[in-house]
Amino acid sequence: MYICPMYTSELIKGTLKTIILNLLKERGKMYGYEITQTVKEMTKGKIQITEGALYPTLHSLEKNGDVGFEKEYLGKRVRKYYTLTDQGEETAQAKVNEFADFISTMKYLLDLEPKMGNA
Amino acid sequence: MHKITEDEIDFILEDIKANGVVIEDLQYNLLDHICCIIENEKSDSEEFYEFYRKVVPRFFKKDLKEIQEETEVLLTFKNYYAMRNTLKIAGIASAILTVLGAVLKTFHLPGAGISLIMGGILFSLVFLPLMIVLKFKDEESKTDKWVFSIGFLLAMLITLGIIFKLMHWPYANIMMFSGLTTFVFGYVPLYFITRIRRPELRFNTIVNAVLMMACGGMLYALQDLGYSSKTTNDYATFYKYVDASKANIVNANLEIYKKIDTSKTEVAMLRNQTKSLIQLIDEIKQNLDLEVLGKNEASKKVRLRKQKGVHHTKNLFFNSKGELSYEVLKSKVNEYNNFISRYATTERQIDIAILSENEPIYNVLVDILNQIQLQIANNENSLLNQWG
Repeated sequence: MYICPMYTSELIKGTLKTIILNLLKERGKMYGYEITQTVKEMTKGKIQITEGALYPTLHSLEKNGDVGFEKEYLGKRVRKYYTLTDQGEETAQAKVNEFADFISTMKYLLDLEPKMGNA
Repeated sequence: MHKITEDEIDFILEDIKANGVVIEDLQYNLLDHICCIIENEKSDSEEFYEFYRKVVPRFFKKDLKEIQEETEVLLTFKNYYAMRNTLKIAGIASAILTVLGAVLKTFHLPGAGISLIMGGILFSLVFLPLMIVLKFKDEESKTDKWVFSIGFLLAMLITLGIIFKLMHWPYANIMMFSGLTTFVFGYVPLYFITRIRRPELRFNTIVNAVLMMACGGMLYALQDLGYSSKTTNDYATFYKYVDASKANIVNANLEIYKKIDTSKTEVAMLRNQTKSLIQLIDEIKQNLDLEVLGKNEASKKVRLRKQKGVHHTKNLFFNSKGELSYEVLKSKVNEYNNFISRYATTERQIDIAILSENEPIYNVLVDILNQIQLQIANNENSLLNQWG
C-alpha cells in the first residue's frame, strides 16, 4: 500500500510522515495530488506515494496538529491546501534528524560505511 | 487536457460515497485528486468513464473503503504507543502498590489503605480498560475480542468490589457477589467453550480455566464468610447469661414484693414504672429482631448465624415513628428518671443519650437495651431493699 516501484513498502512505511512534513516545510502550501506528483518528479519515480497511504497520513497529521489547511473552492470541487503549523515545523525537524541518524546507524550496521558517526 | 464537467464531478463524488467513504473531508480530497489525475493524465482520445474505471484501482488493493479504514485506524490509534506505555506503567505501579498495601496492612502500619486503594484503582480503572482497548485493536479473532473484554470488565467489577470491601464502603457486597457469580458460573465456562475446540489453544485453555476457576472459587467461598460456630456459640452463652441474671433479679424482686407493704404509693409506682419500661424494651427488641432477621427467628443462635452483615438501625429505630420508636423510649425513660431522682439515694438514672449519639448497629443496640433492662431491675431491687 505504501509503495513505489523501486523500494519495498516496508522501507517506505516509516518515512511517509517525514517526507510530507519536509515537503510542506520547503514548499509552503500543497494539495494532495501535488504532493504525489512532486515526490514522483523529485525522485524520478523511485518513490511514488500511493493515495491509499497519503490521505490517511494527512488526516492523522492534521488531527495531531502538525498540519493545518486552507480550502479553495473550484466550482463543485474543494481543494484542500495543507500547510505546516508551528508544531509541525518542530515535528518535521525532529523527524528529519531522527531519520538522518537512522541512516548513519544503518550504514554502520550494514557495513556500507565502516565509520560510525554517532553512537 | 480534459475539462471536467459538473456532471462528471457529481458522478465521481457519488461513486466515492457509494464505495463506503463517509468522512467528508476524505471524500473531497479524493474527488479533487481524481479530477487532477483526469485533467493531467487523460488523453483526449480516451473516454471519461473508461479512464475513470482505470484510475480508481490505483487507490486501493481491494476496494476504496480501505482508505477510509486506514484513516480511521490512524486517527483512533494515534495514541497506540502512549497507551501501551501507560498500560505498562499502570500495571507495574498497581502491582507494587497492592503488594505494599497488603504488607502494610498485615503489619498494621500506616498508609496501607491509601496504597491498596491506589493500586486497586490503577488496576481496575486504568490498566484493565486499556487492556480492553488494546485487545480490540490487536486481537484478530472477533470471539476472542469479546470474550477477553467481558473477562476484563468482570475483573474490574470484582477488583472495585474488593477495594470497597476493604474500605468498608457501601455496595461492596453486591459488586463482589455479582462479579464473582458471573465470573465463576458464566465467564469461565464461556472462556472454556469458545477456546477448547481450537487444538492449538487446548492445553492453554485447560490450564487457564482451572486457574480461573480455582481463584474465582476461592474468592467466592471467602465472600460468604460469617462468624465461626465457636463465636456463635460463645455469643449464645453470653446472651443466655445476661438473660439469666436479668431473670434472677426480676424474680428476687417479685419475692420482695410479696414480703413488703405494697400499698405505699412509691412502691406501687416503682413496680409500675419498672414493669412498663422493661416491657417496652422487650417489645422494641422483638420488633428489631423481626425487622432484621425476619419471622423465623427461633433462637439466639439462629439470630447470630443469620445476621452476618452489619445492620444499621437509623431507620428501624432512631428515625422511626410509632409505639416502638426511639422517641417513645426516650419519653418513657425520662419519666422513669424523674421518678428515680425523687426517691433514689445511690440508684443511677438511665443514660439514654448514649444511644442517640452513636446510633449503634443492631447487635450493639440490642446489647445496650439488655444492659438498660438489667440496670432498671437493679434499681428496683436496690429501692425495694431500702424500703422493705
